[in-house]
Amino acid sequence: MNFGPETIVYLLEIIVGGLLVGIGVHFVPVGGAPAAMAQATGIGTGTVQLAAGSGLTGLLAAGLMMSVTDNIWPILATGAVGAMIMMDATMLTGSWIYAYAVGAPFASAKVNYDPITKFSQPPYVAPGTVGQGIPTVCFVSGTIGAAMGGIGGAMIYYPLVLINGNPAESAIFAIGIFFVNAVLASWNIQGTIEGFHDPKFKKWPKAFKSCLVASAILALVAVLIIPVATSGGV
Amino acid sequence: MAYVMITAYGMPLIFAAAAGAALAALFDGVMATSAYLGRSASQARFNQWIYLDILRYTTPSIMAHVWITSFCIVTVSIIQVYLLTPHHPFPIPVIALVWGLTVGAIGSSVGDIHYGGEREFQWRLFGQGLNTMLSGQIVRKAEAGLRNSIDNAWFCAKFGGPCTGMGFGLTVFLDNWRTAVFDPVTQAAAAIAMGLFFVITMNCYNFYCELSARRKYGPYPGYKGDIAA
Repeated sequence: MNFGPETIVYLLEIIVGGLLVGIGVHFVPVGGAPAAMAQATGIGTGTVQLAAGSGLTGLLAAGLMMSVTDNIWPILATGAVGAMIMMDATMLTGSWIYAYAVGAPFASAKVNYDPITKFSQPPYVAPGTVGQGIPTVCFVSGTIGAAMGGIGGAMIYYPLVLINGNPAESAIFAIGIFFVNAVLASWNIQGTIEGFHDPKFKKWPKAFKSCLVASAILALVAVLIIPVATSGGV
Repeated sequence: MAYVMITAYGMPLIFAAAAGAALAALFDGVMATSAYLGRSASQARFNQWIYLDILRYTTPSIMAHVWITSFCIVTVSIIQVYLLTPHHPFPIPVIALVWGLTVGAIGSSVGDIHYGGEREFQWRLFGQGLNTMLSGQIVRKAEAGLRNSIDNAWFCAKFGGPCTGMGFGLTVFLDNWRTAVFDPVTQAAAAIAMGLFFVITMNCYNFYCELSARRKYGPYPGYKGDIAA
């Protein structure tokens, strides 16, 4: 391949995309198995699974937009919106079950007052639990995290398509880079977090550094991929 | 497999989707069988029985569910690639992979709540989360006879499954509706603004859910702290 000034820009875009994914994972309120039993605040699943589901939905939307335009801003915006829609639909249906099937008031045990609605939290935390459901602050935090993941996925995908011109190959590589950063961030938060109000959120500089290293190596590998002759593309 | 049949052999779309889903169902039947037999047989010190009935009745129904799921996901991918305008640039396998990850995330985060919080632990007062003390007290008696893990799944298939479908359907529908109605070439801003509108609406709806849950279940009487409700 030709190593020119635009290659540096591509490298930077991929690295920034990876960092956005890594930091965005910190915003997503995941509670793991305890949350699925209404024992902890957040969504009852794994960090990487949820971040990947939302970010890759954003990647689909960004890919669709990329096929009709080369302008980066609508691509990033539509990626963010697609990811936010997936995350919000998931959290909303989860909230229905918490509110109407399990029957638990939404509360977080990490803070005394919800930073957004100013509702008091401790009186609503059931004895023996660390909160239940998805309070407003977690919902908003998850939306922000999904937006960052969507922008990150689109920002990794965009330069790859410009380099090799093959959407399928770029998408697979973007998924790979996405997963690497999501798993790194997930190790950093030890599997569960409640959002930007959680004390664990202050650990994000560690994830930032490790995602920077990982994204830089992956970006170097990614920009070296030359266009391949497609035989069976759509 | 559906992708190969469509592109290499030019087969009809629906037939290819059905055949691909059948392959996925067979593959999942293998995994379901080895998971059930392997888990019970390798942990023989717990003396859990292996019910051959499960292989005969439950595994085929698991495979049937997998068939339905795969067929729907492949159909969504086919619609996105061939029918909706603008056509999606990704090939069917990549789209199906992404939708599969998404439906896995939604099923794990929506269906599991119903499975764990509502069905598996019923020895708790309604209106509160599960106390950690009660974590071991799994409901063992069913409406008639003993209740095993298969009964939990059977019940959850009736409510957790539709809720998962609701979440996945909302995702697929809202995400594709905005680019199907507004042309991404000329009305990209409108499509993005419509997506933002959906997001804000869902945020408000969750706030309503929080309000109604707090009103219904109220502060707990045992709370002795000094923060007012």
